[in-house]
Amino acid sequence: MLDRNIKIITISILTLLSTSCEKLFMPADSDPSPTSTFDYLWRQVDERYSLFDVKNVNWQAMYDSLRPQVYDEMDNDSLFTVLHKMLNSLNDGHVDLWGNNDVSSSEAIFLQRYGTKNFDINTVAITYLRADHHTTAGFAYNSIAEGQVLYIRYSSFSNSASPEAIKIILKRFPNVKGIVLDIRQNGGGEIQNEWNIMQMLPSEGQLLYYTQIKNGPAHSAFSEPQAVYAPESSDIHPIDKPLVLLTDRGCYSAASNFALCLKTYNNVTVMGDTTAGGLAVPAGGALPNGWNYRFGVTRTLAIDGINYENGVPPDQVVLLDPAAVALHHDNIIDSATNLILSNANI
Amino acid sequence: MIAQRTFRLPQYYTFILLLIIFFSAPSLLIAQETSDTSQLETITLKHSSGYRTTSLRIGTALGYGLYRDMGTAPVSFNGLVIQPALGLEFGGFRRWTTSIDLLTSIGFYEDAVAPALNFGSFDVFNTIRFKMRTYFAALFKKKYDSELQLKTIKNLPNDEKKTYAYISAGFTISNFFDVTINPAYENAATGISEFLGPELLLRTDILLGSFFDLDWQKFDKQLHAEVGLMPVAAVMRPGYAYIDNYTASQPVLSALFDEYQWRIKSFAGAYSDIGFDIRTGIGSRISLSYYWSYHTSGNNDVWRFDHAKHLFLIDFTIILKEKRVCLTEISK
Repeated sequence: MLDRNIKIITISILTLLSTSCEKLFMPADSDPSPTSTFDYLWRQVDERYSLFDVKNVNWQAMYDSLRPQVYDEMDNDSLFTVLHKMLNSLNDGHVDLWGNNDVSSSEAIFLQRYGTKNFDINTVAITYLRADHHTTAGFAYNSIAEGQVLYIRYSSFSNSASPEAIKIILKRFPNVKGIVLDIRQNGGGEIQNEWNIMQMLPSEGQLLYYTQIKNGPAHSAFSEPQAVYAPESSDIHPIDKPLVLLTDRGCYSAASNFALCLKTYNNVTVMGDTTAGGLAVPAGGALPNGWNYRFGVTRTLAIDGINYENGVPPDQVVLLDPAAVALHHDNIIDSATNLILSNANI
Repeated sequence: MIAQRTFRLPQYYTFILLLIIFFSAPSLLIAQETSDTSQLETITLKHSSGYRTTSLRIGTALGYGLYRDMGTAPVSFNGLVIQPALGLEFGGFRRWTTSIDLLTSIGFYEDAVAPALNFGSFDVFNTIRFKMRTYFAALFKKKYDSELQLKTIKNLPNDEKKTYAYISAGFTISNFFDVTINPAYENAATGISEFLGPELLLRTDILLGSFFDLDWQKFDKQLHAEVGLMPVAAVMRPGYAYIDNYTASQPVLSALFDEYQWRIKSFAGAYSDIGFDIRTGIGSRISLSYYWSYHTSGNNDVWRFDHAKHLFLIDFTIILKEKRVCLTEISK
């Protein structure tokens, strides 16, 4: 009986010892307290955020002013408010915080998108898309200017934009003299969709932009610039007609990057307002208290060497005229149409 | 104020202490009431031949796992792990028992401090392990005979059933490939960690009222305990920026590994396996085990990755091929 008990005890001890062996080697998780969480987030941004040079923020001063407001006994709402204030100082739409009580986003980008009106969906729907418009993948489209111009509305780069869908669209309107591609209020999405659309343009293999990745804790630590070139056309009949891309302050992230790319194509004119920027690629993570965050960890330089992180300017600035809207007209679309037709008639 | 001093054993020494406890178990398990261990049993050669076997191992496991990837979060994720396994074993009358195993564990995790925000992360932990081990000693009625080599083991008495413990040692060449995915992290959602290196292993097989496993009989039972240590490994982890979708607008795969880095890490992992086997035929058995494994990339910066799992396994070892050989062929 004694022997039997020894066996049982031995096996039990061995099992128990094994069940938490990793704790011998793994340091404990970070302290989830408000002070630890604040310090962690501040340091993550300090060491990994890629855009301090264009955001004009004194990050150390931000720490010095906000850190005294954080204490371990504070509640989640109070902590969230302080963290939001810190992140909001970056004026970056790719800097977000997801708590279990709230979501923090850039107030500046919000105001740019909704406070600057250069797009009226009702006017576009009634006058240009009209009730008999077509929808293929993420595109809504119809002919305008008596069938001479194809108007395409693409509202989000999260919506599908396959080359096949574009072929269907072009096949439906083979005789148009040009295309108006409207991405106003397009907040971005899948970068691959940019590529899918560009594959339908006549590529000259031209340089689109340079990109760098943050590779060290110093604010100036970046990888060598990597040149990005236009993709080869995937179709034997690329869109070689004039194309006018419409942008506004609601264009962000992939939409801004798309505008930056299309400015390098010979048959493309970017028209409208400066985009809201957001060219950096954001990456996310979790804080010691489990809240999630994201911010940009790369930077994009245009072929002129400028970082248009705060907005890509159009080739032609045209702002929406409220008087035109009152008459159910979008003067930006009209300007784009006139540009196409005037070039076609030369 | 008097500073409070705490004493903590260094990690490695603690681990070694555990190893000693682990391997002292067979002594306890075969303890007999008699304390007379001065006489070795008379060793008589009863067997002149046995089988060399090739067996297929199919298993499945269920348990608990955790990982922490400092590149994206300083908190651990833990949850349910399932692990199908497939392997080939070349055993029986051989100097070396060799096996090759493919284990794929799939874990479904949540962040313990804010599960609602980080529910839905998962990982796939792939193991390819080529293992070789050989018997080098035996414990018999608490008598350890340092001269007991393979030649002696095969000559063990079979005229009565007793409890024996045999110790084998060996090594593995192992590859561990882990992919963690947390969609909440956007372009840092995917983290790949690779560990490549040898493992040193020790194993005890405790035969319960039966004979040495070179000459087992149907329904013979045994306990086993195995510990492995990865003394050094080549480890690959995401680079500083930790971004998986850094595509420069190119298709994802073209740039996925651009920012990954390799480093050499000492003590990159360990595992233990404690279980019960029952023989079902020549080269066949059913095993029930508790399995623990741990891997770490080391360093306490964004590079660090820790992964552990605790699994309850059931393995079926099924004979594929058998060949009867003479004992004298073993030493060849």
